[in-house]
Amino acid sequence: MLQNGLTLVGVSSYSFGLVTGLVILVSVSATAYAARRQRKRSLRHAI
Amino acid sequence: MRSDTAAGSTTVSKPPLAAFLPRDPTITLLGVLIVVAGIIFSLLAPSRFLSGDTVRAMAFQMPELGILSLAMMVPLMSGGLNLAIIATANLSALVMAGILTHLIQPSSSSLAVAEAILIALLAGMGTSLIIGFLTGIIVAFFGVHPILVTLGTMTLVKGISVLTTSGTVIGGFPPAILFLGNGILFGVPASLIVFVVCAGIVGVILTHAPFGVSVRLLGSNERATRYSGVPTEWVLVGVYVFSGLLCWVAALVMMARFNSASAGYAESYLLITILAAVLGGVDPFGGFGRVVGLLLSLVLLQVISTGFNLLGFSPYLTAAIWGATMILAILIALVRDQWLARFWLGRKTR
Repeated sequence: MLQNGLTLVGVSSYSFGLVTGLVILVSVSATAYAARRQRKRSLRHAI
Repeated sequence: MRSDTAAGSTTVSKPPLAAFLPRDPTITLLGVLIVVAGIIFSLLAPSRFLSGDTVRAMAFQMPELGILSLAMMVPLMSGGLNLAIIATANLSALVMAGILTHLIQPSSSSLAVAEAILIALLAGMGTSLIIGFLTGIIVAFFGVHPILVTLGTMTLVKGISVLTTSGTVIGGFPPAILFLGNGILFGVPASLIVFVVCAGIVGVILTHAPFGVSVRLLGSNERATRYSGVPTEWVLVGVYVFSGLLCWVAALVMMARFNSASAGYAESYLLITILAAVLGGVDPFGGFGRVVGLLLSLVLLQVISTGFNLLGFSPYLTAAIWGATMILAILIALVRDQWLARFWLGRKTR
């Protein structure tokens, strides 16, 4: 879906890897960061 | 087997044959497999397999896969994985190749060539270290699983390589660089010397340096290591930086051997480096493994590859045989462990 969208926007196919990699890194980091914050918050509430 | 009892202590002496065998059973198993494979190929291709040319070809082919396997081994020992080793090596090689071809002209003096090589080496090393550092930061401080992080890093770094070169190959390096890939020093390929030096350094660091001990502890039990006062986050960052550094050495050897750099070189090596490490006794869950085991597994894989190549088999079949070798080694180790457990249990209850 991401690659189809990039093609429709007119982005060069050489940039696909760069964009896909960035999306993977940002999404997994954000998910892990949010999970970590939630865990800390629930620990604080428990105390 | 003989048992001596003196002053309350019991010492069990090894049987004569076992005294000559290494303590690590994986090393023994790999040694036996290498000898068996060597004998089989020597019988099937007697005039070609044991020739000097074949041994030299094997010595030239092994270093790049070997250094990349070392780059994979270090994160594996910490309980992680680095899927970005090939992409890192390729980007590092492209950075060095770009600088070398840009700065060196046919009319350049030897001093200018030396300066360009130094700048290229530093830039390539910097690139690998930055990639390793960023990977380590995300793994250690964001708590993301290394497979996901390095998958993202691999895609991103390969994307940068493809975008900057449009998928083309950069080639044409000075003889000093090419010597590293194709030169011979004291009758031994220079690349093999580089590989052996790297293996020695990695082996010493993993067994004797505080960093290496921390890496192995981290792979065995992360929580216990943290409670022991080891800064586990920074050790993890160090693991990926060290892996990146080894990728830079691999990049140097690869670009020297091929006289070119590209975004797509050595992609098939990625899973083979994991195969070599696990076959060599590195625990895929971390904590355990020896460089000697990795070296022997590389020799075994190279012997199988060269032997099948000489016999005219397809390289695809060679890959299948490598996989079968690993399954066979795992099965032998499993049966051996069960047999040993039964043997020692029998001795205790007797």
